[in-house]
Amino acid sequence: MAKSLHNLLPQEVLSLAIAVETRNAERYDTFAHIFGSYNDEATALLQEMRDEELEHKTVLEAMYLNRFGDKVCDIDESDVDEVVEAVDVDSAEHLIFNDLTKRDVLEAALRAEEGAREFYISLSESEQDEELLQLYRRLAAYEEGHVAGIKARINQIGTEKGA
Amino acid sequence: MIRDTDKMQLRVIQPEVYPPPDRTDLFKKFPWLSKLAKMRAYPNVLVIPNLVMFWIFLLAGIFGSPAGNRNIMIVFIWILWWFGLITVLVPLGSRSWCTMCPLPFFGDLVQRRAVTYVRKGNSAGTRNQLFGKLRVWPKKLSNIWLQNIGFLCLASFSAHLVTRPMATVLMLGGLIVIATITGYLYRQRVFCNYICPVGGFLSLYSMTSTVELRSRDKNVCKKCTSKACVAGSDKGWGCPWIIYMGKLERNNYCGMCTECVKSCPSDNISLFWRPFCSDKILKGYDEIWKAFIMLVLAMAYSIVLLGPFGKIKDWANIGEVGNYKGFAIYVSILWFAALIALPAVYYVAIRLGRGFASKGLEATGDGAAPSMKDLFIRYGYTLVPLGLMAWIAFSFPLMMVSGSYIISIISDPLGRGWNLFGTGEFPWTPFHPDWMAYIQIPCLMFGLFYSLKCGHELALDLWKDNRRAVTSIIPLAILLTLVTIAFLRMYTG
Ligand code: SF4
Ligand code: SF4
Ligand code: SF4
Repeated sequence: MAKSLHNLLPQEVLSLAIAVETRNAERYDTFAHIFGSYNDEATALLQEMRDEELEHKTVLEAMYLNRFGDKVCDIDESDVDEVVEAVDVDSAEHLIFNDLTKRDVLEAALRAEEGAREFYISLSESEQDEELLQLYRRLAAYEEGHVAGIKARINQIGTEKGA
Repeated sequence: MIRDTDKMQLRVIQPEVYPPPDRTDLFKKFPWLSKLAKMRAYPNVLVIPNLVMFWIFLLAGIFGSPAGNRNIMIVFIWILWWFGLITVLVPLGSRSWCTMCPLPFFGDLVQRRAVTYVRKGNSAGTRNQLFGKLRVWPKKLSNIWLQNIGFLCLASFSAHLVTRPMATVLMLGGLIVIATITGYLYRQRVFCNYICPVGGFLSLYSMTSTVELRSRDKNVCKKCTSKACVAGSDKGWGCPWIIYMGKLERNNYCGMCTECVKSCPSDNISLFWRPFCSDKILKGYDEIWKAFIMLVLAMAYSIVLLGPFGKIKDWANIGEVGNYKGFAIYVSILWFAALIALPAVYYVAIRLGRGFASKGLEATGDGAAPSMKDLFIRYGYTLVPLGLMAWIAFSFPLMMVSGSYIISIISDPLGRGWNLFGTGEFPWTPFHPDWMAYIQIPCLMFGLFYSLKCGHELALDLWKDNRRAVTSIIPLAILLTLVTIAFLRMYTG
């Protein structure tokens, strides 16, 4: 049975954060596959976002190794009730109208990263032991960095034609 | 980008928690339905018998009587099928006709090289193996304008189509050829999404339907990494209508083929029963023009086929009467009314409403009024319930007056004087024509009621203030009421 994030141990939380990045990379990959050849720019961006998620994963893995060594902790998104961060397009009909843009992709990424940040912030304000709270704060700060990065990219393409 | 309307406003009247309490999960209530939908043989168990019927009708059209009321093709397609489609299948079954429609069968066959078997692979953005050229449909045509124009063209010749079997043979034969060629050249159901003239109005009126296919738990969809509903899997083909079920919010483009039900790895898709007119979001000019066209055609058909205007009937009936000048006048009026006159009157109503409702808005600091573009497209939905019910009101007399042909034609499908089941001599017997008004008036009033109700909900959503919302739709409500009165006058004399 799935459990709540509130009941996880610090090691499980970090392990889950790694799994979330992996799954998001998979989701980007799936969307890139689905939208491939409809819109090359949007597809290339989806692939880029996939690679970024894999980079995030590597950073989190280093964090995990530093803290918990090589002790394996098997936990995945499906083991918890909540959705931490899941990138998703905003419309069921993008393929029909062939209207997915780079901006749509970045906005989808932003929603996911903001969701994750809010999630970790809310957890860091809950009643937990200090070690876990520290971890949540670090994860929230980490996601904040991603949010800022994506916002900057959205601003950058804001004036691009057809974005 | 969500087409022509403001992205932020589209969510508001969609339920946030899914399924909301007013939905009933039919797959849970009737597990056999879920089993049926997951069978690989479904929906071909419906399509193939339909295809056989379709060929029989085509042959009857070619070799049978050229008189429409003595040919099974005309009687079954333009009376029985049309009546069943508009009065039952669309309002109660959404695009369930598309589930069993034989037209795309050969196009699918060319693409899949299989009838029930699913091929795993990696083509055209899916996890299936597909064949043919698999091109992407041009972006400029990725809308329903072709369907709008196609339907208007067919409608212009409707009087000819419903009386001449050969004309219907050519039309249906042509559609099946186009569906097969586009199936070979382009990926998935390009024909259904962008070309099929029937698909256009099914798409519009399926929004009112009391059933929907949706994912049960949106969080499961968010977490899903395979997106097998749209990408396909070894269990099912990627959605032929290229819909992503994880975000599906309206029925318009779901052909209810149940491939996603089969391929979803989380068994997260179900058929829901829901209130009438649950989808209320039109998203583009192509969609709202579809609503204009359908409403004008409902009126035009009522005038030509049911009304007392002999001259107009003659103009429309080019095949039999051959009055080319009259026909040109009829077609010009039809196209002008559908593409320009009704949209213009509607625009004025929206503009007036916006003007009234936004008085003093800046002074009170309540923010800006919704844009004309948003209002024009969003309020367009008010034409949908009324349009559907006008079509239903039009179709009842058709069935009641000419339905008795069905009984005789079963025994004599080609109009050759056969009497296969002993009903060949059944006389033409109109069924209680005196009851018609009692059916048509409630139909139209029901449509008007829903149009106004939905209009109010849409207005509230846009204006966030009841007084302004009501004020903004008053001119539109007057227009809709006048249209209803025009229909009532037409039907009740
Ligand atoms: S869209 Fe047209 S061709 Fe396609 S399934 Fe529906 S009715 Fe048939
Ligand atoms: S495959 Fe199923 S769970 Fe995944 S997105 Fe589609 S409907 Fe949702
Ligand atoms: S979403 Fe697509 S695959 Fe699912 S039933 Fe509708 S048309 Fe078929």
